[in-house]
Amino acid sequence: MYLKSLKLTNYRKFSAEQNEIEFISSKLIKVDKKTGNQNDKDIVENGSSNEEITEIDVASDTTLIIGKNNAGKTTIITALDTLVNHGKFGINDFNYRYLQRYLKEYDIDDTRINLPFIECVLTVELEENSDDRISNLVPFMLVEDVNNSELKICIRYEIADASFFKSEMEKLFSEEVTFADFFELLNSMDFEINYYDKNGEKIDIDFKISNLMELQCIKANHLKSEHCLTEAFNKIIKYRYEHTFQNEKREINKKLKEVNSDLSINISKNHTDIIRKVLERLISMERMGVQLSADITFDKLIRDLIKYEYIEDNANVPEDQFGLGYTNLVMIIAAIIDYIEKYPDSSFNSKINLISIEEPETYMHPQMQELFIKNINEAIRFLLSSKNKDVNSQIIITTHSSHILNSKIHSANTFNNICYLSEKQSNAIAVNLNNKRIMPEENEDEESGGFRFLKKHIKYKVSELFFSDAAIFVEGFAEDTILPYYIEKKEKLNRRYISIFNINGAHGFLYKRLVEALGIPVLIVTDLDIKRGNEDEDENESIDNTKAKRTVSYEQIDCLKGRETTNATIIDLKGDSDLSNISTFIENDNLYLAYQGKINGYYATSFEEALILNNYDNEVINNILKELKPRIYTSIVGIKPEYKKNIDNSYKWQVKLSNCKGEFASKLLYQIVNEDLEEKIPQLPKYISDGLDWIEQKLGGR
Amino acid sequence: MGLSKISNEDQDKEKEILNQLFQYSDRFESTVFNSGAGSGKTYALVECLKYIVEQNRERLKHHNQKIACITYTNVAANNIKVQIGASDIVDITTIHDRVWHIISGQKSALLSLHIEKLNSAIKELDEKLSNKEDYKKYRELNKELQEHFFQLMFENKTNYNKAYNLKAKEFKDAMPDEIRREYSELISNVSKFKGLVDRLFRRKRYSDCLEKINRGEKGYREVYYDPMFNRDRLDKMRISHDTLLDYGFALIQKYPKMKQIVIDSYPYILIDEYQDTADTVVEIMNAVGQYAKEIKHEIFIAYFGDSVQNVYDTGVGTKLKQLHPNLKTVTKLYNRRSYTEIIDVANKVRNDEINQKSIYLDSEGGSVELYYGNQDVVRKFVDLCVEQWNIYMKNSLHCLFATNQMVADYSGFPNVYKAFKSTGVYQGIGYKQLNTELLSHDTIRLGKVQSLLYRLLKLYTEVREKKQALRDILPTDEYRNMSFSDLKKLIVLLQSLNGNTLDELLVDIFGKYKASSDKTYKFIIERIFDIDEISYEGVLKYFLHSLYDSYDEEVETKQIVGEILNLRIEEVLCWFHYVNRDEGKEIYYHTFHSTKGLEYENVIIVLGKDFGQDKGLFELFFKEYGEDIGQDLPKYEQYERGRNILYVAVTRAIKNLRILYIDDLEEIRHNIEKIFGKAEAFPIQMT
Repeated sequence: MYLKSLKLTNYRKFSAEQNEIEFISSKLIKVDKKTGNQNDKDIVENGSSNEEITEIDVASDTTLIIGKNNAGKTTIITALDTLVNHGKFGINDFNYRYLQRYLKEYDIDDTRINLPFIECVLTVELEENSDDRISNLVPFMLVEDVNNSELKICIRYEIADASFFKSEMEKLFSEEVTFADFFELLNSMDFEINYYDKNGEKIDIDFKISNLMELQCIKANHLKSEHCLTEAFNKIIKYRYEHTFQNEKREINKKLKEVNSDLSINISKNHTDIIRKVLERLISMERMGVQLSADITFDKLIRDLIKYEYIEDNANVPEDQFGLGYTNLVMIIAAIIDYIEKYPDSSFNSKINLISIEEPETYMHPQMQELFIKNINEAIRFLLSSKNKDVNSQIIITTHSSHILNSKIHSANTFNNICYLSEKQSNAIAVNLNNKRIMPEENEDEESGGFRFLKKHIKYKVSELFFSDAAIFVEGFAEDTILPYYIEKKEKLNRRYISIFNINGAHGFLYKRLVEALGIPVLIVTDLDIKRGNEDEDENESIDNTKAKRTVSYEQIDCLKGRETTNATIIDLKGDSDLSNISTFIENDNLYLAYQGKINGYYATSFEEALILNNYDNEVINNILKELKPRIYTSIVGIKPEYKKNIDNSYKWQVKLSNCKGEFASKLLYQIVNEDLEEKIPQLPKYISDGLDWIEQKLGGR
Repeated sequence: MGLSKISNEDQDKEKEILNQLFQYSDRFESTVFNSGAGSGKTYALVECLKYIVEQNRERLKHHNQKIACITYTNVAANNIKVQIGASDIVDITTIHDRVWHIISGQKSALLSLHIEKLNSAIKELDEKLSNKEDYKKYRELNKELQEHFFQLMFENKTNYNKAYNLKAKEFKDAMPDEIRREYSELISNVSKFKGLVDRLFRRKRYSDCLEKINRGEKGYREVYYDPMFNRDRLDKMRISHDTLLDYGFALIQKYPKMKQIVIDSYPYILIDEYQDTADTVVEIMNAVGQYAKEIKHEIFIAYFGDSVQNVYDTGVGTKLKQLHPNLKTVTKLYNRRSYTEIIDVANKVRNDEINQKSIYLDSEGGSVELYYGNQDVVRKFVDLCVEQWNIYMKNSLHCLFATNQMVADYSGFPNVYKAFKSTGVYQGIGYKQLNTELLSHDTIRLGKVQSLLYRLLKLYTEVREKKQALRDILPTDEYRNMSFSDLKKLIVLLQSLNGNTLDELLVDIFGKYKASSDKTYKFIIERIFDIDEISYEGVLKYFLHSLYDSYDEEVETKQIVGEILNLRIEEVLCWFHYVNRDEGKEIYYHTFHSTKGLEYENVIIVLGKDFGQDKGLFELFFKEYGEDIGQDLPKYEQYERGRNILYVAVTRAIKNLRILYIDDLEEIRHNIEKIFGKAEAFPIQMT
């Protein structure tokens, strides 16, 4: 059995919605690869499947809880820790916004009104035909659960005496009520913890969650002293002596006795007399003596037994010279060794075992974080290979490191079992990610091209998406280069973390469901990509070759009637490729699709063209165009530049610039960064600035 | 919608009445709160609880004291719990649960009471053995032979139990030769023989139990009580409801400290439906109250109820003030339940100083009509009401019948009723018990066999009910070491138990009992049947002994209890649902007794001159209605009984009430019309 999910209602940052966190069962069980439980991935990775290898896959069987600071990661672990190890909640554990709303909606005349409560619902999954003992669960089971395999345990922290609370509330309401008054009243109430089954029936038995679950927390900031590693290993070795090597321990004790007695003799011979004489001078020793003896015990010995040194290039490095990052990693592994050592040797389980590792990334450099899961995987694999234990434990890692997230996604090759926490109207919301949920299409195959693209592409962009306040997807180098400058200038946006990523082509729509799941506002800046007639379709290539042969017409488009787009993202979000009825933008919940509108009479097909249309008379733009393509520039605007002509030739510019877009963007950025006069800086085309306004407005509401 | 507006004046008056009660509680003056049916007795009780909580919570909490609220049934307890909401200082339970809660801690005192009880039971058995005519031949044997006989039978116990239900001849054949040879005198009369052996065995069990207690063997160190079971099993250290109260009373009498424990743990004791509470309970309360005065501790005891609604013969009824003198009285006249039309009729039935008035301004709109006809028109009458009142599941119809057989017929279990009615213990004077022991909704009051059937069907339905909590099915201590797959197998096994008739079901259960090695299954079955010999034969024997005081030894048990064995499971289920008052129907049928404390929008009362076996009860009531018969005590008692029962029936109705009188109306027409208004013939004559 394992913990399938935890639902926290009205607890700290969590409200009554999107408050369920899912967990994966991670059985650290050695899998005989020949006989079963294999999946294709393993076979591929390990080459041959005939060999008997014990395989433990921590990566895919770990639940990763990610989120920005203050998103509620620790709250989840604290809730579990409270349930399992303390069993005590307090008034301060209430979600204050819930209490505020409760007070606002309280009606003294309504006798059926609910009392304020905190609720935790644990869903426990029972594996078919498992041998796990269910003694702790039976009180919560219904007949149907026998076939169900899923079981709910509801724990409520609630007011002990309803009628007393109501009468006190009545007194409170006889005058003006403030939240502080109400809170004080709550503080004076007696609360109790009650358990309920799925029917909502209170269970009147002596039950403790600790009978059912164990939680081992490995916390961040556990590097308390310079010798913490030594201490950690001493603890393990002591445990092993006491439980696994009892005979050896007895031997040691025997030797210790000898040493003690030898030493004592020596001490009494050489030292006791002297001390006694000294003392006799000070105090009368008639009725008191001094007995000095050696007292080395096993505990004392073991406490200082181990010296942990790191061997680096054949030279021993003492622990305190050891990097914090390594120390941290080793500490985590030491905690896991300790845990596995102590795990009972029985053939069945009656408990759910959780190990939580909180923010392991502390002190680790990025590459080490990237390898973290792999390292843990290896350590556990090694530990278990020498043991004959089934360690049925679930590992939960909380992190705000994008590298660890990356490492999880890529070593497990899936998006499964990632719990993403974010904030909505000041409450924490939990989003449980999995492949199904974020796949570009709902019923897509995990092997589909779209999904593979997503996985590949996200690899080094993960942090941009998961840890930012908003994201902007752009399709080309120019936008990527120039947009940050404009965002920096917007007062409301420059305080937020807005990431821009260039997805090199109209693939934005592939992110649609992922973005939807994450719930952050995403602006996709794309191009209209108006489909043109055959003749001008392959112009890019033909320009050079056929310059002489035919006059190319750079048709300006001033009307979208009968026009179609070739842009996959527009097609996907709009539903068809027809441009004649397209709105100025497409908004879909937290997704905003921006593309060119009519600028100075024409529809631009790319960012550059839109920029030129928009800033046809801008000095900076004209200078750059002149610099890049002096001949074309002159041919368009004439020797005595007539900026207006840029408008009618915008498409020609677009075509001509297509082989030097990068240069165009870089030069532009260089120019505007060094431009002191605000009015000289080219303006963003409206469709983009509208998009930025949209982000601003979305973030403003949060 | 009627019954929604309360005038300020009436509300204030009602509050005043409640305030009086509250003041008594403040002053710790024990009180009886008398109120007619529907007067919001429960409302007053709940308000009183709330008041005490509000005033005294901090103090009670500080001293770790509680408020005890004692109800007559678990249903009533739950009802009050819902109204009060969660509370950590109000304990709402039945008297049995409360008494057990208080005394269960006194393990050694209880144990010594139990030893006493066992000794007196042995003494009683010995007296029977040495005096009863049946055992004359046994007495004539010398000690040695008596002892040898017992040893011989004890060795053949399994055999004896197996053959128990056979015909006399076959039974004898199954006994060991030596018995037939050496003790032919004893075995010549098989039923006397069985009676003797059963007594000897029981004596042995009791003395064994005493010995085990003496040795302090595991399981014999304390007495326990389980509300699921209606009979003592002294040798298994288990006591029944009645014995529980006896032990409680004995402890209170024996140890003054016990009284103080009650007083100091529960300075407030509120008793609901006092009129039905056993005398013992009131005596305990009185003793506690007296003692509190002596030691100058404070206690408030309040009785809530209405002596007119005493319909159980066992309740304290009007004797309350004798058993517990010096009670303050608060009387409430407002009615919170019914429309004025109903209240007026109820006042007329009651015909005493209590004259209820609705507390609501908008209380008009009910209806009461009287019809007369015969037994054959009942169905038609019910159908007509269904139509007229637009009856559906949310607006159900409740029919109160004066005869049990009719209730059984209409509720779908006529043969269950017939089968039990024809058994030995319910003949003659025993018939009076049948109503309670078969038709009571309070499972504590069911008869032995009925209680067993109830437990059996409870399991039968519970394992088939998806939303049923497993903790109610599985005994608490037995699933300790169970795996999920074991549990699955167990539930599948329990679900597989079935049969068309009770007999088939029993055969199935015990077949699987023998074949299965599942300890938990065995334990569950043992717990349900709760008999010494866990087997099909054992059940038959249990049925026989529980339902017959004497029987024809030439007939095998299977035939004697055949009528019960052959009951179809569906019919027994109908009985089970009836007992449980399972909901989800349009029409419900009740006995007059069973509806006490409940209220229904639409009520039909079908009655004649008799009340079941109580011949002429209603006839007498209607005849003597309004007459002064106080001098003729037996007659007056009858009159009072008839009145109480009818009063309870009439006051169930909230809005619509129809009376169908199915006997000759002429002689009583004048008085019955005085109460209910003009009588119409049914079916209505077309003119």
